[in-house]
Amino acid sequence: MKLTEAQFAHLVVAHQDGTLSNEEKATLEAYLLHNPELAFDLEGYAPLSLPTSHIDLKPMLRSEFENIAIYQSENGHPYEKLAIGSFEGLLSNEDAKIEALLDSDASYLQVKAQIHQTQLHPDDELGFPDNNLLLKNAPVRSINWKSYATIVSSAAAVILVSLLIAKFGSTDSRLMSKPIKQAQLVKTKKSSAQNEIVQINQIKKEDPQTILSTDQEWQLLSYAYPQLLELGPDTQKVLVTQSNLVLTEEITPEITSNINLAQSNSSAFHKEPITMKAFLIQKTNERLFGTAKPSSENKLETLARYAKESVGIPVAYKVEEAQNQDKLVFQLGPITIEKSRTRK
Amino acid sequence: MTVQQYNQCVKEFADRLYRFALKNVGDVDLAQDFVQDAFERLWMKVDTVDYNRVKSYLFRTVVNLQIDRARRQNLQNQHLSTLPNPVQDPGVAHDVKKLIDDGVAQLTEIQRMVLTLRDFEGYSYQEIAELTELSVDQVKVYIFRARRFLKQYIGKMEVLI
Repeated sequence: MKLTEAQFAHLVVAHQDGTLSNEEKATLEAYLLHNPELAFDLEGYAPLSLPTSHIDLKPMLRSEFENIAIYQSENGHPYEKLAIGSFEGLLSNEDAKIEALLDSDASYLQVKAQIHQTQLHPDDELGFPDNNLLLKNAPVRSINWKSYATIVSSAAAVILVSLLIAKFGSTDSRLMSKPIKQAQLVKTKKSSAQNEIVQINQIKKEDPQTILSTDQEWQLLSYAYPQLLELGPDTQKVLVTQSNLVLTEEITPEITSNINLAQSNSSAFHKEPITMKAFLIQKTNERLFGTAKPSSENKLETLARYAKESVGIPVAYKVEEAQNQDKLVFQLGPITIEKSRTRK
Repeated sequence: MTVQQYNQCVKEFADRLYRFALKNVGDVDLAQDFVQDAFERLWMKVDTVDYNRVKSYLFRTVVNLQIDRARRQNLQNQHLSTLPNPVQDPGVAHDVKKLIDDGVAQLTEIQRMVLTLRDFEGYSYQEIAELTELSVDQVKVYIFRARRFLKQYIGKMEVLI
């Protein structure tokens, strides 16, 4: 049934005035069967939407409808709420009892049938045009970066620490902080232990600051100054000064004239005598960094280069300066190592 | 998930995803794009997605794609549906199924989505809530409104016809 808005308004007014004819009343009821929400929303129309055969239930249902719990905050006719709630399986026991009272109500059954019609059914004939577009043949190849990064970072850390220890182990801050002083290097003879002790005591007596060398130190010194090897085992005492190697006269007087061999060598040490260890450190620095007194930047740069060449991963570093503290940031491939350094 | 399992998912869910997407966006090309996109994303994460949860993953992906699309359209101040309004062309709607289809096109994006998830795939309210990131109460209300609208739409159209 189709009613225009003007026709519907006319029927509403006639109903409110009590002048609705039987024919108009039937028209209005038929219309409201299809639009029950209008009957409920407009005061005084709900009775019209209920079939006359169930007129006895009306007063009871009207009060029951007030208590419908399902979709309480939503607008809508109670029939719709009950029908949708029933269709969705959401009715409470109380709501189900109310619905049971409407089991044979034609209007409710019609609403219920309409709600059932709202169920969507997929069209099984419809399908994705070409599943082959989605299928895959090749196995998935992906790299588990997490475990890879863990291994690499561990290896890099170990290598880095090894390099630090191997290359910079001698640059102990305690040694570096020692005051530079004159030192004497003594090559002790091994021919006679007794003779050696006597010599040591004698030298120490002459100069308490004398440093007795070990064979290892002697070899290192000889490496730095090959001329010493030519002096042979008779060389017993060597004075290391700025740029000179001086054999003490009292022990090897016959060859002191041949000394100053190192004078021709360019060296970083020009003014002050140094300890044997400091001397070795400086020679090592020359070998490693190309200068006897490398700056921190030079050390870091060299360290990064060594790491890069030995580990085979890109290594970079940078120094982030703060007020009292510098932060060294090593970038080992995907790994970042940070170390704070208090500024002196 | 193995390649075989992935391909099994394609056979099992591609059509269902397509029907779901098509019903919601009303555009064949767009629906195909959504399905392809969903499976591409699955393939990218094939190592990490649990085979038993693939269906949820795929539908959630399509739901998100639809939501993204709706947001973009909102930004462009366009209506979500550009389908012809059946109320203005009653002669086309000649059966209930056609009426329902036209009515569904009139629903809001989210109502259409939860209703198709409910009816097409039989998802529970809880599952729909998880897929769409809504609360269960919201899902319940959206479905109620959608069914009420469709019911009224069918009734009005039948009266008009």
